[in-house]
Amino acid sequence: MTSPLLSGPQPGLDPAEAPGLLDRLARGRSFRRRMLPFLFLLPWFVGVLTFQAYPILDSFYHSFTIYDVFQPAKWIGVRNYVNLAEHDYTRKALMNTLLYVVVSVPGGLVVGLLQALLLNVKVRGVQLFRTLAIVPGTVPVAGAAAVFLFIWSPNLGLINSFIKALGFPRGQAWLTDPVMVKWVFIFMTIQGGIGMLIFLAGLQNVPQELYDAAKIDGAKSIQTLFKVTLPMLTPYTLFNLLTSLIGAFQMFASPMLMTGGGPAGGSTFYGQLIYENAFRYFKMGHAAALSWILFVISMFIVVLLFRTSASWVYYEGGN
Amino acid sequence: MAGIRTARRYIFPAGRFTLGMRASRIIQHASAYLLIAVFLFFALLPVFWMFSNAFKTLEQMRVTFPIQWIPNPVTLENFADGWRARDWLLHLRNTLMLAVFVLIPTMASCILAAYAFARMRFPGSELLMLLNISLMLMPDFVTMVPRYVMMARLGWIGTWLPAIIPSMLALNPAMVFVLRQFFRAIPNELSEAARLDGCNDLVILWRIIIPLSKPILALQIVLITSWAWNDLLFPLLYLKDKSMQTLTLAMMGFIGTRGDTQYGPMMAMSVLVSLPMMALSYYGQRYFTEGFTLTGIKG
Repeated sequence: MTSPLLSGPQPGLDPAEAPGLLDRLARGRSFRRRMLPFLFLLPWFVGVLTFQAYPILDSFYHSFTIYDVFQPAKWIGVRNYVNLAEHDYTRKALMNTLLYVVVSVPGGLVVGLLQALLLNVKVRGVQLFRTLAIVPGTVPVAGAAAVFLFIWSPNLGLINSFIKALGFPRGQAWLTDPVMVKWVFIFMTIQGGIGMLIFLAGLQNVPQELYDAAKIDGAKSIQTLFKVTLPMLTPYTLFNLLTSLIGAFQMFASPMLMTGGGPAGGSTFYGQLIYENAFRYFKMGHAAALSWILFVISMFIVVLLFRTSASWVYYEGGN
Repeated sequence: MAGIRTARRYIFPAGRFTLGMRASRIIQHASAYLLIAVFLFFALLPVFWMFSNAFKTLEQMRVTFPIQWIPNPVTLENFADGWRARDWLLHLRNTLMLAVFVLIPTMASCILAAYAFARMRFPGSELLMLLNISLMLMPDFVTMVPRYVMMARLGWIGTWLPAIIPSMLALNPAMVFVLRQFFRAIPNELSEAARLDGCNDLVILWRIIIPLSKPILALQIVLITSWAWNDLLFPLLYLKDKSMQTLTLAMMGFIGTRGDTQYGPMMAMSVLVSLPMMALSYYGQRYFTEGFTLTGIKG
């Protein structure tokens, strides 16, 4: 069907020009091919620039100003950063956050690891136990907040019932005690465990040969744990550690839902501090300084992640 | 296997030894079961307590000692009471709307970006991927305030635009990363064959990559829906208006207005809010394992 057309001379094309034209066509196509990835990435680029890079630079600038959105920002140097340490309520929230991060992250990781080890034991029905162990994590935060509010209630709560059952006559105030309340949140994080699923995935990847070899060498199970299992898990531990550190700074929903940060700022943590400074007190400068500190912390963690990534590559084997 | 067993019988002919081995195995298994039982008891206790108390009367709830595990008599009054307090169907609709408004544009833009990262060669791709991985770890709180001011300047507060527009810009570095890992694992021969047949990249993406990536895309649907069901920060900033509140925000108001005597309706509504999410997570769990094992956590 096309052969008569192709065999005849092309309309308006001098045969002498043909090579040059083909060359130009090919160059145009290769240019388009080279630009295609950037076209695919265009939304991503725009997103990174407008909603990531610009906000970070913007808060860097505003962290040196007094700014309430309604009036233009006024330069005040590092006063915001100094104020963070001096302002009573802020210092309290920062100390709460520090305590929460330092205690609940290692605690939660240990519990998460123990849970994973327990669910890795080869007994009948372990698949069912794994499914059951995942259930608490699937309850949405709003439901969980209501339940925990009830469980820790001083009058009707389950925790105080347990305390009574153990023979102590008087319960505690828990969530209405300004000192106790942060320990309740810390306890809940530790008790829930951090990174169980990832530890469990890591345990599946420990080669059976290593266990067999340890057995042949006569290692006790506790020695196998410390000499084989835990070293083989270190990449996963590191991953869990870094992501849960970032996560700890973002704890927001459960204190907001359960206590609103109270009583007397006893359960105000980092996220809420930024939120309140910006949207309740309109101290945008303060909020910007806090955002920037958090940015520096997360960058530090990212660098750590990349610096240690040599140990990630090793366990992957091939690829 | 049989050979080993015979060999063992040959080396350890005494019956007592095997009996001792078996006994210690039984003890080991029993202690494992016991530990698992204790762990599961404390882990599942809050969930059980939520369901149990949703069906209790106030009088029964007041009895804190001895602990009343099973509701007796069973009442549905808590559900009726909690249901009347708010327009829960509206909040459910808003939650689903938020999920859809974020999911569809995010997925479209992230698939494009992930395809470019996984299957195309261009200068700086490694460096940009490192940037993407760093952004994965960036807390929302870092960019929250300037973003809000930006949206306010644009007059978007009180509309759904703050959910839709940023989602069109692939602002989900974790999704870009996970999809890229998955796309990379798809054999090159398939797309090369299609390319020889004259297919361009969009056709390859649509006809080959996406159909083969169903498990990981299903996982993303579960994750975004669960985000819409759980997130408090976004609704608190952008969906404050009563007609736009999601379930989390509605629960926050509901919990805040209730006193010590109204845990019954609170538990009833928690059950209703939680059940769909628990079902979805159960369904998505298999995709989680699948996606996780295939993509790994390596950068």
